Amino acid sequence: MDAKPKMLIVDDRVENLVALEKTLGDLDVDFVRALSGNEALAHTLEHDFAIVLCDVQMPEMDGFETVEFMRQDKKTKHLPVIFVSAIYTEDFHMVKGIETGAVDFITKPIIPEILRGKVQVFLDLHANRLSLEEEIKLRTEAEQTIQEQYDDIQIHTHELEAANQELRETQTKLLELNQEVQESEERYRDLFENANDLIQSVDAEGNFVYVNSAWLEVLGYEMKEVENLNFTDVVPEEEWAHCQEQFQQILQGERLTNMQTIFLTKDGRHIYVEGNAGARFKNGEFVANRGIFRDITERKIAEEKQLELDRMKQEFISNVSHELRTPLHSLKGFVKLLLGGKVTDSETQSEFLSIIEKESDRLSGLIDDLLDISRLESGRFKVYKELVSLENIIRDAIQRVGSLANERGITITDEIQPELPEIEVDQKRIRQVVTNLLSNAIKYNNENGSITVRSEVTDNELLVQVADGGIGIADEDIPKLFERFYRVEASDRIEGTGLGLHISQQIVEAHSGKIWIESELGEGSTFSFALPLNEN
Amino acid sequence: MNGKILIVEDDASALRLIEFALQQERYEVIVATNGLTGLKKAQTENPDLVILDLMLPGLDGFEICSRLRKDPETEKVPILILSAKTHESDVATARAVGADAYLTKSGDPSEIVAQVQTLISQKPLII
Repeated sequence: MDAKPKMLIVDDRVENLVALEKTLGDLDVDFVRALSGNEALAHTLEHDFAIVLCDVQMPEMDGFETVEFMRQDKKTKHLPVIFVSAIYTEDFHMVKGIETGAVDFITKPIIPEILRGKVQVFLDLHANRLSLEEEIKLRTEAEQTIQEQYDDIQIHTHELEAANQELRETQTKLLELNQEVQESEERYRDLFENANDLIQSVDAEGNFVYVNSAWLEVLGYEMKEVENLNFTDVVPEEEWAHCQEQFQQILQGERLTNMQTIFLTKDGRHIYVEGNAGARFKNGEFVANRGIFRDITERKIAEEKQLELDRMKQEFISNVSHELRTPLHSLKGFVKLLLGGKVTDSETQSEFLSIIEKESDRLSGLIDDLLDISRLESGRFKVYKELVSLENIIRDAIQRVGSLANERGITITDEIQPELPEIEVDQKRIRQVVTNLLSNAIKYNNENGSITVRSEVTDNELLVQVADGGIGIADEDIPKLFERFYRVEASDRIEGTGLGLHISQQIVEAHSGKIWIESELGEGSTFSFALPLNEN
Repeated sequence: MNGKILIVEDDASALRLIEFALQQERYEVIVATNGLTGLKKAQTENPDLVILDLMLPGLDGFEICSRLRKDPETEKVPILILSAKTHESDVATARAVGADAYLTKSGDPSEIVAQVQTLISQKPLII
């Protein structure tokens, strides 16, 4: 508190005011003079007073009236007042509202010590009140600040709580999202890993980055080996150029669909595949070449087999027509000669008639073969069994191919075990088999070669073998020999329909027997068939 | 005799038919039933014309024809190829290996005789 407390002194006489200031001169106060009640009231509007010292007897408005007015004003309602009067204290009740503030009296003549003492008490009170008010003000301000801070904190707390809640929701969402991503990843991984298709990812240098289980299984690699693989390891050399060409197309952003290539398995097998391939780009940069392929090896083999079969059928038709035409031409030619009267001697006539008969038989034989095939194809092939001697059948067959063997200078030797048991077979069909094996042995034999026919009993079976010293058959061709229409590669210029062995196999199998071939290229071949002796 | 004809044919009946038809026209006929024998006889018997079947055991007709054309002894001998096949490609091959004529077997021996007479008459006289 810098300013001194102010004291209002009210008296209608100036000399009294001067005397009062003098009496109270030692006190640390500023005096404000008022010569009337009105002037005093005017001063209260302007100043804050610590105390009022007021004369009671004044003209116009006396001291009591003045204080009454003061009490009506809020500012001065509690202002301590000391009346200076000659009047007795009994009259004080006349002052309205006087009780609201501290009031004292001092009677004239004034005793300076008493006045100073009374004023000092009021000044002390005022000082205390001021310091209290200051403290209250400070406290109020502090409280206000605290309240404000508290409010701020409350607001922040709300904000934090809201933010926290949001965070919690975000976290929950993230967890859900993560879960979804994980599930989705698992789903795709599962699809990827369990796909039957071969899936691969290759970098710009053709090195493998990733493949799926089907890929590993089909190509026979372990996952750990994949990182060291280049496309040149899994594609046969003859396909490299083609693959590189396609790789360039892919690098240029092209997507290849239904492309076909060949994979090389770890153990060297070829796998035909068909599929789609395309590049993955990230920000315009090539990342990987992805391919999804399907193993079409079986389909490819089936297609090739079908093509081969079609080719064989075509060749069959061509051969059949040739085989039918040759005897037909001879028949026609000899008949023309005979009819034209150009053959005059009876010996030549009968020779030509014999040829006509032989060629007719040949035609019938061919037609029988064709009918057999037709029956086999439609499942109408039947055998009629009777108890017969296999030795007779073999000798009969040798006789039938006799002239063919003579033409080629080929000798046929038989090694038939004596007293072969009789066997229940279709005589005509088994003779057909032996004849067929013999005529093959003649056709595919060397000039002036030899043929041995063996027959013996082994393990309750009757074995028949036709061995020749002919051109022989390559190992890879042996299984094909029994396929219908198949004819050995080198046999372009050898007559035949390619049906004989197929028909023979069907006949032997219809007798619950088996037929097989052993051969050595250049050394000759042995065709064997075995028939069960006692079926029951 | 009108000339010496070599027939290389593995089918006995067809061979007999051509042989008889040519003999009737007073040709001297020699025969072979496989490629190798045919080639040897063409080189040693000095025939005026060779008739070759295509489907033969051992050497086929095209092979024999090609070899005869490469041998100075036989390079000029007229060659008639006989075949039951009517493929264009066979006709072209026959021409490529140097055959003078290609005849599809028809069963009429007079066609062969006529073709043989044409080829023999075109043959330049060797003095």
